[in-house]
Amino acid sequence: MYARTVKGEELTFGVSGLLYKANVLMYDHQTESLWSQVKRAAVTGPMTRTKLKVLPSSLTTWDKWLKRHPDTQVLSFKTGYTRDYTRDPYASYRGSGWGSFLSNFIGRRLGREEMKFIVGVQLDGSSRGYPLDKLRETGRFADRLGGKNIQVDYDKETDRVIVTSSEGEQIEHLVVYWFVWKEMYPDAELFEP
Amino acid sequence: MRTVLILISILMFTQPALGWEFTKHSIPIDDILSGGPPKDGIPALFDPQFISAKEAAKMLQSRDRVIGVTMGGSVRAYPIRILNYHELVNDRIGNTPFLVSW
Repeated sequence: MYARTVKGEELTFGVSGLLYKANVLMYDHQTESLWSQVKRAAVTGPMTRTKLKVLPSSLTTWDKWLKRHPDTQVLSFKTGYTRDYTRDPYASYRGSGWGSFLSNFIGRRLGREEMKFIVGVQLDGSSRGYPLDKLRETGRFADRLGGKNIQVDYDKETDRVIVTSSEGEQIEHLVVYWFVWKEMYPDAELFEP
Repeated sequence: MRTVLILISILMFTQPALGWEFTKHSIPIDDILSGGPPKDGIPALFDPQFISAKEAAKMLQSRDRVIGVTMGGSVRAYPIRILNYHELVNDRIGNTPFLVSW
């Protein structure tokens, strides 16, 4: 989730249909600049190099969210578009199809580890991926990155990941496939707990 | 210089990403590839509408994934079932415009 106010102006975003480093580029209607979600910045057009601010959100399940927030509002299935939302549009890709689509894109076969979700953190030019499955088991990783002591926390109740420095400052992160992060930041290492 | 300009124009014309403004860029334009669907082929949502938890419970399974947002007393869930078809939701709570992306 990102703030849509950029340089004091409110932007609206659409899907460009273009890919960069195995990730979909968005564009803004106001300047037609292309934005990378993984870089969290505009990569072409008038907004080039302008940063996107990441806002906190949780990727969780409906039962967990409802239990914690019984008064939640939910995005309506009446979107103005005729789509069968009960059907997963990527179902046919999930087996070999999805893997081969991505492998084609990357130009080689993707391993099991590469298809795992990680918490990607980039600090002062240093970049690392924290394996989400192991984080879910242990609840916390302590590490040193970009000259800072950082803590990666996972809250089981809310499925929320929070990354903080030892000074208590919140640090931006993204939950993405390991190979997507690695494509963007080839020097990134996978954290070994 | 002329060779460079000719090279650039050839590169621009062989790009799948025609119709975009690439005068300024921070990444090699060659690395931008067509992903299949055209611009807005996956339609982002604007002015999204919301329903109550009770109403939504009829549509959602307990293990369905949602993106959850809490902001200034407002609580909203965005089912991945819907985001799969739209990828982006341009939303706002109070004075904060934000983008939910999948």
